[in-house]
Amino acid sequence: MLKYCLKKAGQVAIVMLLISFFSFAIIDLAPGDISSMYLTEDMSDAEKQIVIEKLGLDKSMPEQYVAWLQEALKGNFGVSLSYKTPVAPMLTKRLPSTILLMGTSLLVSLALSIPLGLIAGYKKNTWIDNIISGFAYFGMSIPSFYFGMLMIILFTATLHWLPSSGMHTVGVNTPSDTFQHMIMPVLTMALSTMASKTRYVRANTIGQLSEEYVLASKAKGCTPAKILRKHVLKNTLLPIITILGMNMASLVCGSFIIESVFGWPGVGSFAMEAIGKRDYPIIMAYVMLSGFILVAGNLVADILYSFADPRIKRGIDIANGK
Amino acid sequence: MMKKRIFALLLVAAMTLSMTACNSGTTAKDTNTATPETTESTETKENTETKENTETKENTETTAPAETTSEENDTFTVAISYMPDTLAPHSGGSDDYTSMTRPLYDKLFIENTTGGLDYYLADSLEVSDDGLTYTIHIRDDANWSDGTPITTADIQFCADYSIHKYGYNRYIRVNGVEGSMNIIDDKTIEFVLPEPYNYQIITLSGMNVYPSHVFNGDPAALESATEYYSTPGFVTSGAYVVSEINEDSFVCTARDDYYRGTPQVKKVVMKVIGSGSTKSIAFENGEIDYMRITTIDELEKYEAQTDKYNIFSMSEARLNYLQVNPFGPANLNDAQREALFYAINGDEVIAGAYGSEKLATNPNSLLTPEMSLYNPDTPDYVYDLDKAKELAKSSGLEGMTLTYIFNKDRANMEAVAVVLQQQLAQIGVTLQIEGMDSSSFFPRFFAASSYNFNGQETTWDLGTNGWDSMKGSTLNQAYSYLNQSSNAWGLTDTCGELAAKINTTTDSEETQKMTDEVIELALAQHRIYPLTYTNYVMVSQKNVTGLDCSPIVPEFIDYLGISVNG
Repeated sequence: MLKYCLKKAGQVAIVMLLISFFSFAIIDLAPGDISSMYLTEDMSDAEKQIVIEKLGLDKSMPEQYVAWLQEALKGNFGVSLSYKTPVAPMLTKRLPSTILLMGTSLLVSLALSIPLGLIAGYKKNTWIDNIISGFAYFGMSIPSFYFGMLMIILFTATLHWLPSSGMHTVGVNTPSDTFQHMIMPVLTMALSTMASKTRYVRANTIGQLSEEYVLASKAKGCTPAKILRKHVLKNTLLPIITILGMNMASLVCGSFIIESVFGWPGVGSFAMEAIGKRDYPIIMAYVMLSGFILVAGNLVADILYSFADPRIKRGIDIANGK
Repeated sequence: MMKKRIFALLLVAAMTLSMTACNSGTTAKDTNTATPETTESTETKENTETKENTETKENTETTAPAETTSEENDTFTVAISYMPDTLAPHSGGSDDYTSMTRPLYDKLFIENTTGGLDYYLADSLEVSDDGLTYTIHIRDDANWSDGTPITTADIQFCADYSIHKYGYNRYIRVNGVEGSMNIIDDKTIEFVLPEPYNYQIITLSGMNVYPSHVFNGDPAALESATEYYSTPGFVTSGAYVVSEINEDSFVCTARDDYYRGTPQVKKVVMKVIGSGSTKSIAFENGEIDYMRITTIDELEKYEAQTDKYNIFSMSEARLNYLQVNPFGPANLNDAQREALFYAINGDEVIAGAYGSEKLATNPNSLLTPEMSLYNPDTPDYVYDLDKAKELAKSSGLEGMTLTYIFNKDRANMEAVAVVLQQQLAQIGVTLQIEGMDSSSFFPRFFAASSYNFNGQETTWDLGTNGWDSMKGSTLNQAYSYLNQSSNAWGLTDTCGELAAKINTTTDSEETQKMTDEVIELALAQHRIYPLTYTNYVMVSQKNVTGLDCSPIVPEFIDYLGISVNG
């Protein structure tokens, strides 16, 4: 198993290296560079050359990449062009806000999609299934920014129940205040992710209900609720692990639109702002962060999967000659 | 059994949500429905007095609001598009950032929209007859928020920072040659230029004054002062200090030792508000005190509710123009360009893209009416569709497809593009419109002038851009356009020579004569078509007054004139 984990970790490192190289190359090809922030029209050519050399822009792209990589491995992602301050602390400062928002929406979507999927699967082709499936299709098809605006119009403009934007009311720094600010963005995010998960759980539930162990449970006199909870649920959750692993990246990068619509001060809106300003060091750090979380999420999902399903672990052991 | 459990769980969830929502509703309502108490009736008059910048301490001391006014009523809430990581005066550059830091930092002086200067940290600027020496005197009572007097040592520190950053003192440099900077005393400083340079006023008015004593005169310390400028309480020169910084907002509190008096608005809250329609909803919900409006629909909507809102309009001192690219793939000749310009109906552009002259007007010059060199009699381009069709046919323009680029971050630019597309279609020209954000637009539009011919100069034929802050006594942004480097805009050399002369001439009559000449000469070459002078229109809550007290964009250069007490 350890060998398997190490192999996967090695793959992660290679993927990260490739992500970083191609991202760097794409940014290098993009028009404009850091020098535009430092050069002024009244500088002489010699003065401009000094600035360019100071910034290392006179070197080739691979040389610049290697220099960047050496620093990135130390946790130094350079200095923001627009803020003139180190990028890493700026990202880490905003990360908790995003994780709070996305983590909560993930939990909410899980908490709702699993029971809904189970019920829809159990009540296959009934009106209950139709309602839940209809709800899931609605969630998958409606754009989140549009749903977010609808929420704001309803809960802020019409009912005056919830604040439209931000994370806190100024001067109020209580958990309940943050909770109020979170309701709309969390529900907006949760709706789309919940919809797909509900469909997965429903499909798995239908599959599992036709298994013989379910028949055996029924024969033993188990109630449908107990069968679903004790037996079917565990097996239907296996594919969810994979989905969760893939969704890990969305914890950080799925928040672009939602954070912008709701003015949430996280890394999503920060990265949007950086893209608008062509602040390449921030964009690069953001790409690396989201790339890392994506591959790390998949790695964790693979490992968890083998723990959750002994058949997979057995397969790995056999492949390793045990 | 299972059904009952699920039903019970759903009920509990619904109740919890309802209770939470009701609770928040109470909080929001409390904030929103608070009616500001009326303060002394003399306030309005005193507001007007402060906006004229003839303020004295005695004058502004009387503007303090009644003590009975609650803190909430003295708060002015502004929507910001993002939360800056630092509030350092030298970190910004965008209009958004400038607006955010307006309450915190004062300039020495600024050029106003009537051709004069409004003084802030300085109380006089004298220019010698030969146009070489600029002497600035700092107000005796100008002080930092920690009580330290603002002196010429702080100006020296700005020069040192310029040297640290650029390698030269930008405040005394003209055409690559540096003059000298002489400190006369604690409050008086001289900038001696190597040659006359009228643009110097713009350079000096843009100077950020930094507190030398905070950084012990070390420019490197200022450069890395991110933490200092992201911690409440850092030293400011403006009417406010930052008292609170949150993840999505910061709060500015009025100084009681501000040298120009105490602001009526005690707290300015800068709060991140979501994009798009969220801002409108937040405004109507009372979460923010004002917002800009750019469409006729919005204007009419709020004008119809004068019992709830105030409308403020001021000239943006901005010229939006259409540029014909001399390096464009179509390589349009003079007759073709003339045909294009005959086909453009300026009034229709205003009507179609803006809907009202309240939002924009039809320009006649490359200068704006807010500039002292502006001449209202400058002959404008004439709309003549028949002539345009005839010329288009004879010059071979008819049937051509041109690439048109615009900056979609700018208000109404997309609508302008659509109107122009329709107008030019009438002479058989097809416009391929490409809208893009600022960061993509500028390297493409200014490929020849500012980006050293980066290859994108050949990718477009027509483009719209705008010059902002077109005020004061110089050619302003028109100067660098006319006195082009690298022949970026296709104008003749005579334009550049005349512009350079204007910038060095001290005789005002001669300057005006040459200005008229160069503007007419430039327009005659059919390279640039002035499209609109735009207005900056804002809608505020009914209790907010004085937003136009100092009509300078980005807003608000002078917070002393703003009141939230009706």
